[in-house]
Amino acid sequence: MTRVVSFRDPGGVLSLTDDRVIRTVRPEGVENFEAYLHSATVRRYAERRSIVTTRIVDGDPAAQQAPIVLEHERVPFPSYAHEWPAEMLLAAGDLTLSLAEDLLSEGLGLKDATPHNVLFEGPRAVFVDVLSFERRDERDPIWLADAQFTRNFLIPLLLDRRMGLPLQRTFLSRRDGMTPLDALGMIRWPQRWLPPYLEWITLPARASRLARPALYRPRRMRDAAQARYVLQHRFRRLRKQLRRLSPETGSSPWLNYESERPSYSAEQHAAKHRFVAEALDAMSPRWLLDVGANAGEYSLMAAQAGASVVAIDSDPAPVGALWKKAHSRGADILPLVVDFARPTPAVGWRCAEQTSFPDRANGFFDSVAMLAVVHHLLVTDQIPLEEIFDAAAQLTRRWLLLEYVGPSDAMFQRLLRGRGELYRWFNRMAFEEHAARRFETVFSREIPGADRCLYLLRRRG
Amino acid sequence: MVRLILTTVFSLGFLLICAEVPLKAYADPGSGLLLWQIVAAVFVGAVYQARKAFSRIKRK
Repeated sequence: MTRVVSFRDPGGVLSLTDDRVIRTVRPEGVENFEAYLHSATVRRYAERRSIVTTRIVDGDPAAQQAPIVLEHERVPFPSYAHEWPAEMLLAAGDLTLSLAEDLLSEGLGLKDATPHNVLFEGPRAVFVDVLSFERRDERDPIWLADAQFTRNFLIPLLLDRRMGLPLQRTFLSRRDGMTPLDALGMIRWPQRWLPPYLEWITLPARASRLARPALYRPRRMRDAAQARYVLQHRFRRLRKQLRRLSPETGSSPWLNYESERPSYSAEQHAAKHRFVAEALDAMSPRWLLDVGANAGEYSLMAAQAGASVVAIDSDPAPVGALWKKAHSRGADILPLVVDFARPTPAVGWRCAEQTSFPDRANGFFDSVAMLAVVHHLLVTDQIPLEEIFDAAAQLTRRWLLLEYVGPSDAMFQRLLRGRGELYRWFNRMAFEEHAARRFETVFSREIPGADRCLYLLRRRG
Repeated sequence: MVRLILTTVFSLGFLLICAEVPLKAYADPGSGLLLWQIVAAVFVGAVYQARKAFSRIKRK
């Protein structure tokens, strides 16, 4: 089945056919594609795997013949801006700016600046839209994608950092970021008149009333050097502004959960650590999904054991911290802000441009870890236990690494908030009975002195 | 100094001249943000001209 996922660029369309990512370049896009093909900057970025690997399947760009059919190397697990913590959006913006700036010396540029052009392979940002590249008039001092960059990177990051508006809310409800006019309604005096609100939001929102058709006529400078100077200055300024939005350590109560470990003594934590190491040894995971990963202690262990890890958590602060760790250590972990009980929906035109998290995840992973998660799903999200095991069996092709947390555990009690009656039936036996419908136990171990037990399960059938 | 001012004004004038070629953009270029970028480009372009003129004067 073929699904067209990108169609707005008149230069071409992108479609997914089974496991293949195919881009068809239309006549309007051939000239720019040729510029991309011969760019030294592109080659440099491709060598360090910051631009997607692409091969020509059909057509001859040199003969300017269209259509040209390209195949991109598939990024194994695509993710979207509405699943990224601020740190990842910032990295995607940084890559976009670096490319735009480096292309300048070759008389090339980027015609758009959106997070849709970037995917992540593990923690590494990869630019995937090869039709974004364009040949520029060297006397043109204006980057037309500048406004899109501000809408999609600067304003969302500013509102996330200073106003507490999560990126998830911005990007799930808006395809092309946050306009200055939309943002203006969210900020009050005197903030409106302070930088950077003034430059990115207040003045542009007010000036939008002055827009006339003449505004959109191309501008040219006297000479190419002057235009290049203006653009270099612009890119430097954008980069400085972007980096100033680098997220500080968040204030989430879950951020220090792993270091403080309120639910485990040192001995209990060591026992859990040993069990996970043994389980990883038995599983030899290729693709592992860590549900409720927090700051990623076990994701890092799995990555060290050779797995490619997708780590999800609903709290952006620990997810961002994990991305930083994975990025600096080169660990193959893709951390995403996804609430397992309320996963990312499919969005976009006909709900087909960006697929839901379950659509991407179900059956993709050979191993799934749900450590100290089930009680949250059961009590906080009120998901029936059989549903939780059904969902786990859909996700994993083989292994499930699981932690049981019983009603006498302090964390369980904290989540109950007086609703103990509802969970009188819940104990280890009930847990194991529900698990047995879908999984068989390979080995299990109690955490000494706690109402907690660890399991390595194998999917039935 | 007069020459410097004239060069700057001259460069601004050139910047504001619109070439008669169609705008090739499919991404929304914005309105207020684009206007703001043009204003900033005029200013930085003028700085470039001023620096160029100044270095020419210094050479003499």
